[in-house]
Amino acid sequence: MGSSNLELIFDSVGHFGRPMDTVRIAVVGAGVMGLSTAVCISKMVPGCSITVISDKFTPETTSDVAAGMLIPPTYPDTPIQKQKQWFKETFDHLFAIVNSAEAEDAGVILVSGWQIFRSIPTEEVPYWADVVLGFRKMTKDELKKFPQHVFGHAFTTLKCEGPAYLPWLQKRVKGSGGLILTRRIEDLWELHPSFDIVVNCSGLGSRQLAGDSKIFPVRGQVLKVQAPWVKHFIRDSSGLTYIYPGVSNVTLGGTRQKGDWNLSPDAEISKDILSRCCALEPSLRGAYDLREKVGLRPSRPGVRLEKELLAQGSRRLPVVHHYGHGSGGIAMHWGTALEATRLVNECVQVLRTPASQSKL
Amino acid sequence: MRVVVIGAGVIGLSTALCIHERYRSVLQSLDVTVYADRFTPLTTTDVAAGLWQPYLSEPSNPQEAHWNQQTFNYLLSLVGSPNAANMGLALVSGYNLFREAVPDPYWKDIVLGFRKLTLRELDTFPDYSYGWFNTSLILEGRKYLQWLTERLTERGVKFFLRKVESFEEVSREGADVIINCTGVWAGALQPDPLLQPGRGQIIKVDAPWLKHFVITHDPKRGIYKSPYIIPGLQATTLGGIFQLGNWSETNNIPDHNTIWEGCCRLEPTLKDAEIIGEWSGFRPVRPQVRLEREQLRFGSSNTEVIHNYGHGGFGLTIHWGCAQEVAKLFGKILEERNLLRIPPSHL
Repeated sequence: MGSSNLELIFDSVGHFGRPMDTVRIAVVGAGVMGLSTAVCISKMVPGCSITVISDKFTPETTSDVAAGMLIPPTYPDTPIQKQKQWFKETFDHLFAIVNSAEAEDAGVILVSGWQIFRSIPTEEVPYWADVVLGFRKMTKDELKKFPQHVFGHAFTTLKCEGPAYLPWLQKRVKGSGGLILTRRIEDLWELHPSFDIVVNCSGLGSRQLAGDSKIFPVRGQVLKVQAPWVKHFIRDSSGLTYIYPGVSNVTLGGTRQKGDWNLSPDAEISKDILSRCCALEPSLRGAYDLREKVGLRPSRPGVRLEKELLAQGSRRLPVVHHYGHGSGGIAMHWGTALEATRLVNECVQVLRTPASQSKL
Repeated sequence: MRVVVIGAGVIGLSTALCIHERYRSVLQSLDVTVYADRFTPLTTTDVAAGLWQPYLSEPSNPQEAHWNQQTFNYLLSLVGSPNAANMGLALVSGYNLFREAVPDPYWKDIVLGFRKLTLRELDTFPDYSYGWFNTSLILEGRKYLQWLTERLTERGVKFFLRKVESFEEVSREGADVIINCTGVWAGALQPDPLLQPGRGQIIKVDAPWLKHFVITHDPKRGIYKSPYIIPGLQATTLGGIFQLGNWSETNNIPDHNTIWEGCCRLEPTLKDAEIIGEWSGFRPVRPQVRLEREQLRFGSSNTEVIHNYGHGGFGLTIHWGCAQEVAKLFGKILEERNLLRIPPSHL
């Protein structure tokens, strides 16, 4: 489909009866970042229309494979205070949902458990300890369950599951008048001039769409199994072995394979994951209905959260980049979506300031 | 040595197993049989949610506290085995909620990771202002009884569906020792004014997103009269009914509404939960567990009876400690009758 046809569709959608003031925003990507940013924009940026455009939607996004545990990673390139703020904002947002009647619809649950260490860590209390609930060190009696481990954290946190959360977000986007479009964007300029601002939430797609060589996949393979008697999460501090009980299955993981783009499950890896998890929780030997899944974490030394004004000849296209969360997508999504929305607001202010129009 | 266990709830079956495990190897003539008029899934044990948790106040008999602890430690030693789920056994964490500060329970160091709730955690429960968090165990009645039945069957213990009308009838058939595990119906074999039914009603729902138990307390109303939500291995139990002296075994609608409204208030997502079933049962309430020997004389013979009933709403919580105590008493009977053969290698 040529770009002129695309303009026709967008224009017929955008121009019909639209007041002079409406800023037309395209959000590229419909994983947790794209959808949550669309929701934030609809709530916080007045006078705009939102269209979410993606080639993949739930249940086929990376966010659908993720277990969605609110246990944040550490981004080397981001100040700790900022990470803590993002995590706290996400936690508070999901905690409000879990305490409401919508929790099950939104796929958000409370779950308690343990993060265990084979040697005593230099940092015994992580930066996020007072964000999760009831954080404390494991007692000696609790550690007896894990004879290979000498130290641990016990806490209660949240799990937010893509297959329910993404449809819940999509409902909210549509409910506020937003549109959802299935289309593969090969170049951000395809969105010009039909849209005034582009929010780029394309994850690994930014390698192409933003020419960003800093983003690379970290392949994760998991097993989603039936083991409803497992009520606690167990996470080895290396992040390689974990057991995350969810709404209707238990996620067993995992792998962290840098630079590996392969989306097909590997049977040997599945066997290895099951064996490592059974070592921590022997009752998993009775797990049934095992399903293999693969996701590519969109990894980057830090989340890219910044504005960029694309220029080509006389054409200008303001872009807000919002991608690169690696293994911390669900854990950080709302905090970074709020920040992305602030950046979008800044772009909107610029567009609405008459003096600036000569700059465009 | 013929042993007859009357009763096939958790008390009867676990006591039978404990005796068999301990004495079969040293007493070749040991023959254990179980008589009951109800087997799983029709016993009181089958209705229980199965959470290990004693009452909040210390028992009048300090031995009961000890038996609770023995049971917890025994189950904890098994929860890490691959078979745990087949036994109906799993670790579970959760909340005990109060409207005002209360002293810590005597069992706080038996369970794992006991602590008070933080203010943020209490935000989840707007009607409550104080509480505890701890990790405990679930031992699901139905699964556990099935497991006990398998273990007993492997050992050659026989089961008979029959309603025993008197100790005498069992004695005249040749029983040397009778273990009385008849629960709330013990009064039919021997009047016991201290034993009363504590009727409970529960609703089982499918709510797999709930991972924690939530037990509310209203000290003015008394134990189990306040809503509770207990996730099991597959289904979740909702309850909050305790009616002393009520022998009605049918589910009633006002109780259903009390449970449903109370639990939905506590956990609003329950509105989406599918109801699997509803059951009533009688907690065998007694000021203390009756665990003691009694010698009954029928005709020319003495029959030993060991009573083990009256475990109220904490049968699963206390069962193994009691089973071991009964086994100890049984051992004394064997000694008194010079039946314990000491193998030569031990001399």
